[in-house]
Amino acid sequence: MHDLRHRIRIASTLALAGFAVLGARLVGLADAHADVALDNALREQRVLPPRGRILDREGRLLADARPSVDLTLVAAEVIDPDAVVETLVPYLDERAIEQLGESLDAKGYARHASRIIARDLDEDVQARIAARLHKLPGVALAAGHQRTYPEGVAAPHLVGTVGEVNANDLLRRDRSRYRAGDQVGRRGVESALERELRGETGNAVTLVDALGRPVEASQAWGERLTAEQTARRALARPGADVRLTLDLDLQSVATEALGDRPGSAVLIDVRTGELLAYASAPGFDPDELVHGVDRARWSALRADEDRPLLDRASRGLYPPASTFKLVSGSAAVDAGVDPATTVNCTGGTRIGRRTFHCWKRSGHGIVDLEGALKNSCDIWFYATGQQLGPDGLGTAARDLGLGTATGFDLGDERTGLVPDEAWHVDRHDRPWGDGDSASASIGQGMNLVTPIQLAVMTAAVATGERPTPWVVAEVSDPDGRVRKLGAPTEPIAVQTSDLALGAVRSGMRAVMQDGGTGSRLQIEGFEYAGKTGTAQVVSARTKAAHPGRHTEDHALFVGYAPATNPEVAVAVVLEHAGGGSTHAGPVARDLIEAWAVKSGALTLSEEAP
Amino acid sequence: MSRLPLALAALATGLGLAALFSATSGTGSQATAQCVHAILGLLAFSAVRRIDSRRLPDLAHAGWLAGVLLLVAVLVAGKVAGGARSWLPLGPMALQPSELMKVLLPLVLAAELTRDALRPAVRWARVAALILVPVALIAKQPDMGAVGLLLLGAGAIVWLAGIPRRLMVAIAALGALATPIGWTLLEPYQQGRILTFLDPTRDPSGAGYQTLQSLYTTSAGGWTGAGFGAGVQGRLGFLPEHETDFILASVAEDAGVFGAIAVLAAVFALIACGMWIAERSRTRFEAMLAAGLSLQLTAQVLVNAGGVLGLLPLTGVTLPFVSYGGSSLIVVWVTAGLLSSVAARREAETAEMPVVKQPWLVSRKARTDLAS
Repeated sequence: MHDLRHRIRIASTLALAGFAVLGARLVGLADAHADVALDNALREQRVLPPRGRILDREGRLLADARPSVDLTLVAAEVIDPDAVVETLVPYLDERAIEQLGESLDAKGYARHASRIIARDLDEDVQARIAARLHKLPGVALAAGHQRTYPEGVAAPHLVGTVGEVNANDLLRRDRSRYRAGDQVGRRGVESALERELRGETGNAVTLVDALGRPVEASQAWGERLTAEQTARRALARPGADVRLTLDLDLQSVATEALGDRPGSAVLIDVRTGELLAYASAPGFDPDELVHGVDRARWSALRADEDRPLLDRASRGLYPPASTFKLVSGSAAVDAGVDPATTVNCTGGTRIGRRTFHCWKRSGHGIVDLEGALKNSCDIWFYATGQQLGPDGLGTAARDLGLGTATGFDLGDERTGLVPDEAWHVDRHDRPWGDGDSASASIGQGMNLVTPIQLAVMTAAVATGERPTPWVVAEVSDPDGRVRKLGAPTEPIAVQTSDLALGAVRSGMRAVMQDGGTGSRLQIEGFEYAGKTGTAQVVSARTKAAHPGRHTEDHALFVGYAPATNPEVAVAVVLEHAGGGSTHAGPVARDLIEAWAVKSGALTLSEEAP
Repeated sequence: MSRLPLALAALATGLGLAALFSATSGTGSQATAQCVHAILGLLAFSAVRRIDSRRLPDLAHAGWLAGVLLLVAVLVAGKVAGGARSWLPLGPMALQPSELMKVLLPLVLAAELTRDALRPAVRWARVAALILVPVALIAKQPDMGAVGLLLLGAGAIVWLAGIPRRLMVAIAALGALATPIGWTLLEPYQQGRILTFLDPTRDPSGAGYQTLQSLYTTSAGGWTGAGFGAGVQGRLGFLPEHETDFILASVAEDAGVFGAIAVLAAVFALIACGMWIAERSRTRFEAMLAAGLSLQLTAQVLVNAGGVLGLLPLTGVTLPFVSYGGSSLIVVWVTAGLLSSVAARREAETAEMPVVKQPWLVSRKARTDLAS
């Protein structure tokens, strides 16, 4: 009996110890995970705002957000994945089926998120899926927004497009704002102004039970939940509208004039730097990319030898050819060569041990600077180019905006190349000779330029000031409040003298006169100045031996209008098209004529012939 | 002293009913049904406490046999719920014979272990049979929670009786050997529960879900709770079995950590009372019975609350007095009745012997002598 009492006391002590442990544990748990329990019943869903619109300078729609019906899936709520797949697959394309598989296999928290499986279902498919939804918990049709490009083909490179966010996008952007399946701007304005166009994601908070069914909060127990629900709720803020300096009328003229021929046309306001037209050809259909193209179509786009995805206006690199004579001509004048200095062009000249030909083998006779520009005589520039050397030519080229970034506000432009002597030695392993100066002075050296640089150079020649090109005129909230107003950057006065620029300008005016290389590009009742260029891409001998597209010359044309008190400058490049005056010229002519009509500088005759 | 078990059981039942009304307010009729169970419990209590505890050893074996027969009946004609064939339909209610065993087994063991004139080998063989027959039948249902509890309770009583050291070592060795074999005999979900206990975040939406939600719920009420009927976790289904196995978490959510401690303290008060009665009992049988019943109850509270609070693996054991369930509530009232009966007997004996009015003034030696 004594032993028994002893053991009873031991057992009592152990029982007390056990209860003490429970009490301590309860004290330790108080408030430890208080908020996690709240998270259980509050289902948060992101509300994606409509993307901001993109407009031309007159408010015409370039990119719009149209209401759409999307197919969404919450993996955690799916009861029978096989039934979901079986029912939906007939209505989905290859990409959506892939997306469906990934969403169903999602792990962890991703299972509770609503994923968009397919966007912008057409009405027939909506109806067919809606009729089966009751058998497919977790699948829903949700209102969304579909990006559309009403004027898609007019400026696809500049406006850009949107695509589903991928790992690369996340590296460049604020990760926290994006989830798998979100759309993000690609290329052009869509990419550069992603933050403004995107808007603020909202948060819709629903009260749900453990099975994910929405529940009504009662006064007895719902107070904390509804308070938290209100605190977490956030309205979506639509993306801002972006108005561009682009003029859709002029842009369309440029796009249509280029057609499918690889090339580019840029029209810039010489005083402000506003881009009025910015075209690259061939283009692509941005709507097609938004809807998502399959792998084969995407590979075809990427592999197309005309490279439709390349934005040639600021990323295409070309030899400037004779358009460079605006640089070498003005540089010669500033180096002390009188514009009236004449050279006798006999069709060729000997420099060192080589004969350098003029493009016109029969020769131009006696020409001064104006005459040399008018007929694009090479001999005059060979002679003066040798005096200038690499430094003289390079300095003048950079002064007029070549070889450096133009400062275009969408960024992502190429700087081109203005070689100096060190670069030349490094590249060719021999010193810069007179022959190199001669080639460089007619734009057939190692120089490389982009069309937008040519437009800036021409504007600089026309005004003596180098404008900075820009395209984003205004960013404003959908309610009209202006958030950011684009403004011209103060133009940079060039070092090249007025005398030199004046001489070049009169040469450019002469180009457009009868007898000049641009004489066939005249606009009746309107005067403008220009310069043609024909860039040899291979030697004359190779071209003769291998006739065909890839040996054909690039056609170039630069110009400004009107001829006095210039307002706009134009640059056109057509790859492998042939002569500048016959191929690039007409594109520039159409563009300038359209501008002249639009600006009131030219009234078309009432009665067409 | 004999009225204390009634008072404490009533207190615990009252708190339990309040907890149940709070946890199920507006959603169901369990709390009302539990009131009926409480009344049945009270009736059972008054019937049991009238039994003269000197007659209990004679009734013990018959009670054990009745319990075993019910366990056989449940295997034949029982109702399946929650994956186990544990319920015997009984008109509008259902009886859970494994719950009855929580009283009948301590009773029969206390009787068996205090019988004289048996050879040790025969005695231990009989004890083993008394334990293993009902345990095997319950394991067949299967209700591993009840099996574990009965083994714990039986082990405690055998230990109280004084088991030869050699036998204890042998059982321990056998247990150690049986562990790996036992592991392979467990169902995958049972293995999962043990692994999850070791790391609840192993599978937060699967096996670890209940433990994690139980911890979140317990913590959600803070110190003083969300208020009566204001808990959300069970109501919206995030905490499963919130009115039975996980009632303690619901109490903590509604009434806070203070409320949960109060409920546990009430149950512990009855257990402490039982141990006190045991210590003061006149006979070995009465001491063993009171202590055995109290320890059986202790084991159940610790296993349930330990599981809910993430200190032990989940077993599907109810919290005495608080969890919803008729058999469970009636059986704890029977326990209280037996404690009361033992206490009453001691009072009666004390009254017969006016010399020892104040037993704490008498030396332990003298008390022991008086008792025997």
